[in-house]
Amino acid sequence: MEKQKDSFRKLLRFTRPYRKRILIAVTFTGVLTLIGLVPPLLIKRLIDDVVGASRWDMLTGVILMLIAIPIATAGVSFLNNFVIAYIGQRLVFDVRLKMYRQLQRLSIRFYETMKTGKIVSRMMSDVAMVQNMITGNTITMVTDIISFCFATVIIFSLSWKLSVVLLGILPLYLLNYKFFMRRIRRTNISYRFEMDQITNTLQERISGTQLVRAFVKERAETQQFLAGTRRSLNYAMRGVIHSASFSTASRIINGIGSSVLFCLGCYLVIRGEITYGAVTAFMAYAQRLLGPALRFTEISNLIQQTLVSADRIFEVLDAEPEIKEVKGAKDLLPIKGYVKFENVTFAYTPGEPVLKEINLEIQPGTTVALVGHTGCGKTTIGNLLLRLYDPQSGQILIDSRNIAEVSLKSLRGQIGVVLQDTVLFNTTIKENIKYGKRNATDQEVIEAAKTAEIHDFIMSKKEGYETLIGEGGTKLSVGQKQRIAIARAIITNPGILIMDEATSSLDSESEALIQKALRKVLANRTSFVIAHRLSTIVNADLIIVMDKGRIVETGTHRELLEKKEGFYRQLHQQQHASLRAA
Amino acid sequence: MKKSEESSYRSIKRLIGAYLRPYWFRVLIVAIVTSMSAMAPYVFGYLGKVMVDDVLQLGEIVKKTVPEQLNLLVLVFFAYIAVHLLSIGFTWFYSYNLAYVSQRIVYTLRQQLHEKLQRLQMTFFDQRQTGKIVARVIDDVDVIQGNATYTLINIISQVALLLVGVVILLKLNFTLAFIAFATLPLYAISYQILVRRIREINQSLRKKNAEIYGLLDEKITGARVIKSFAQEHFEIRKFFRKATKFIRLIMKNVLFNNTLSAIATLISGVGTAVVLWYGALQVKTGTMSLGSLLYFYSSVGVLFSPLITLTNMNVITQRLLTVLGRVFSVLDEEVTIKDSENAVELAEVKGAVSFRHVWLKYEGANEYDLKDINFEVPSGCTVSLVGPSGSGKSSLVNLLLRLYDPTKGDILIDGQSTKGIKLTSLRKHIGMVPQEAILFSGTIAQNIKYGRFNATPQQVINAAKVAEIHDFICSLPEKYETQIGERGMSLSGGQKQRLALAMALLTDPTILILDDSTSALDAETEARLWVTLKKIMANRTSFVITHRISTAMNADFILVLDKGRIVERGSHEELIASSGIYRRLFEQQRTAA
Repeated sequence: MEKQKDSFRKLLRFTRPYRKRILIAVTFTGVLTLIGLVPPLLIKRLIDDVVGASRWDMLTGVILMLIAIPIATAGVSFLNNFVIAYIGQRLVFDVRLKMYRQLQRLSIRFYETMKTGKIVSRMMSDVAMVQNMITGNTITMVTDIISFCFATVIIFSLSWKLSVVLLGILPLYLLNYKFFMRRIRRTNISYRFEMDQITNTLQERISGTQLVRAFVKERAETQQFLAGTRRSLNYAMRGVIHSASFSTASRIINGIGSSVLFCLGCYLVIRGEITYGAVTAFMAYAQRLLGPALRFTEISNLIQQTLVSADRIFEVLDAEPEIKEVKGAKDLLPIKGYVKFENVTFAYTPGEPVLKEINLEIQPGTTVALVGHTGCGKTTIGNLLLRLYDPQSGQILIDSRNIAEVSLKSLRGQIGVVLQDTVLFNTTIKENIKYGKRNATDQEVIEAAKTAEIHDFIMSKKEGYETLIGEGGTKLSVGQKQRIAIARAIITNPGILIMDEATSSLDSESEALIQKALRKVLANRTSFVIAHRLSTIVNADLIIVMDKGRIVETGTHRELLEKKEGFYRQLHQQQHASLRAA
Repeated sequence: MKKSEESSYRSIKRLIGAYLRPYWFRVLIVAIVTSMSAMAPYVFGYLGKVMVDDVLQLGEIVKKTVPEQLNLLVLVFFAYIAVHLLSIGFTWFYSYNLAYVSQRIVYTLRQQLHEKLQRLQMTFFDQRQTGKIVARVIDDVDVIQGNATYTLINIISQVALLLVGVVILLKLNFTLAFIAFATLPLYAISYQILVRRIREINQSLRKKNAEIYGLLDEKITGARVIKSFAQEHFEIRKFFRKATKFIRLIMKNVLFNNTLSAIATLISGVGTAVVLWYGALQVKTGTMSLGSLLYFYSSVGVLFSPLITLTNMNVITQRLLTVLGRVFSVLDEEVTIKDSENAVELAEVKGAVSFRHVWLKYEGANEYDLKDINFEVPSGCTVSLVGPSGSGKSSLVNLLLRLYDPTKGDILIDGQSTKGIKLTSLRKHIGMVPQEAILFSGTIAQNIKYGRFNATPQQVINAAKVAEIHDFICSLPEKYETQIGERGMSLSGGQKQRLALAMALLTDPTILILDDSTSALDAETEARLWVTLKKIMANRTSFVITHRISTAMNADFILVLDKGRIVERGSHEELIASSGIYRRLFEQQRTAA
């Protein structure tokens, strides 16, 4: 609860820049509500004075007021709605932009704990929910409170006897509402739960339809689906019965109540206590009292829902980025390529270190091949060098400067990366290649593509470099994607290149092209290659063999093979042995 | 335009003819009852007139005595109560029956859709996203439920409401009625003009919103790339621009909506004022009673609602038609892979498989995925399929299961073309472990038993043991009853693969297909697994797709595929001796770990 209050307070902070406008909107709304309360009184005048007392001279005046009110209302509410919508949308904009900024600051670990879908729903639905509460519901609340208070005063001044009867009926109204709303909500929840289950199962079975076919389970699946559908429909029917009962009950209360009030009013007219105009006005105000009264019972629910959304929003906004630049971080000078790991230990989850006391020294221009079983920590070396994570202990130096002390942009901007699962964005090939260097000229793009051996393929496309890729665009093979990723990585002419080779074997053409590209790219640049290809390993200047988070051996291919009990040699022989065992 | 009109006409006809017809009597009664209960406001208006003119005798010379007035008042009171109760009863009856009919229709539609989906061929699923297919069955049918019967009945009752209202107004005062009618079309026209613009903006709003969703999804998934290239600021600017455009569009939408409601307030406000003014003058001259004027006044208010509903009906109908079109198009989709008329049931299968010059081109593809695949496998043999990703290995085994049909050529099992075998019988004899293990939400036991529902616990355990997953399962607190999938625990790739293997083994198939099914296991487990697998595969025909030469070489013979063709075939030794792709792969894997 404390925490929720806190997020509510923080939420209000977003409204601060719009305080004046909000004040204007609330004032306008109040004025509008008050004007809206006038017409029943005018009708009363019309009935009692103009017609009833034959004051025909008043007719024009009353009618002119009746005309003036909608004109004024239309004008003011036109402006007011615009202001309200503007405030609401600006708020959404501010919160979303702030969240997006925050997302860009947050470290990779955040993305790994909170999945994409969750983040997206926080930015979209939760923000919309909060906006709805802050603008829509606040305005309704202002209107409701004003209507309720003034309508109460007016009905008492019209006839205190009728008012007492009305106030006697009011609790019945609220009780009925409370009684049924709970039940309706409960069946709705059951219905939605059942539908969720059906939808999830259906989703699963359709994406796994291959399995359903292979095991000949089509009929069984349909039967299961229908059983679920029947259950959900039963809930739906129950929901219909509940809500129909609710509306029946409330209409009975309303119907009998208003009949009683109206006829009682007319009785008072016969007795000469009040006028008929007063009765009609009374009936009109009674309705303006009931609506707000019902909505008041919903407020706590609404606030609760909003706070849940607010909490979720602040879960993102308040997350502390794990990787931060130190104050006054200086730019890293153009990288020469001297890399040093000093006693680096790192764990993704505390207590399960992936790298243990790694010590490494790489001279500029070296091609380093990282070799080892899956999970031995090869990929982590690259992640740390890019400072996507910080080591628990030890430090990493590039050109003798601790990477924790330089600006992130200068560090990451000078390291080129090719990831194993190539992520390309849904835009043109050109935009993808230029991703790391927005101001690259077309010539530079082509140069990079040529080096990556993908230029010829691109030119074979009808739209060349403007070809759209990804969703709704051209589909690319694994090999083509990887070559575009290589082009993207080298266009910045990075001082250090990190490359995670694709594990699955590529078609023979892609394979040859990538080999060729790599030879050009790796030359004269410090490069770390998480190697799966024999040619990369054999040609590397330095092979680092890793096992269970430690470096077990380093050396060239030949040197390592010469070690009698060496791990590399064993790895090598294991493959041979299992291959020969057939 | 002509064509779409025709197809919407057909959709509506089909909806009424095939789905509403069984309930026509109910629907008819509901329509009548609804129209009647919709009239209640007019009756109340009339009772109000009686109250003013006859009971209270306002604006006239009082003729009745007070006791007479009171008697009439009591009468009117009971009339009020009676009309209320009657209309409430009608409403109850109508909402119950309306819900009943629409639920029935939903059930029928969902049943037909699901059955259809179970029969449709894989290509149907390949060309569509799962979410879209699910949306047909769930969301679209929901729209039909909400609107199909409702729309029809609403149109009937609203038209009745409108007509009765017009008659009442005309009867009360001819001139006044014309003044009132003059304002109505004014409103309807301005509504029509603005609504079209609003709808257009709404459409682009939805599109923009989807774009923002898409952008977020893409950038959050690709967060690693953004960070690696230090492009955070660029992305923020891009988002800023998108969000700014969105806000502008929304404000435009607000502007139009505002104009519309301002016009509505103006017209209805000024309109009623004029009616009251002219009406009051009529009362003055005595051509109209005060009660009639008030009755008239309340009836004009009632008249506005059918007008708005009917102009809105266009939107709802349009939406209903789109949805109906989508649902019917799934129901009408042609099933291309189905049992031929004289398909046979295969009781026993020995397991000899032959592919005869098989070609396969997927729908919409430019190139053949499989080209002239021709080979024979004697029963009981193990075949390895080796080749780069995208070379057609998975396509080849999918053909055997008849998940797809070849474009050209024929596939035989025990000399019998698979096209002549009943699908259920064919697939029962084949066990397949797909490339990406598919598991469903549920317990581990439920998953393993998926293909053989009546398996005993012992049989389940045996299958799990062979698949080298039993020990792992036993290490879990709830063992075989552990929930997996979305709401349960998540499994590693290797664990999933082994469960999928157990699932296939439990059905004891004559032909076993392993589509790269042990790729996620570590070398040690994989080696152990293969010792048992080899035994199991000894007396059945098996297809083993793999990237690992160490797995491939155990086979009786190996097929090497590249770009859809068999480029090499033979035993491990034979292929090593030649200098082809296989040899290259072999060399590559010798060193790299």
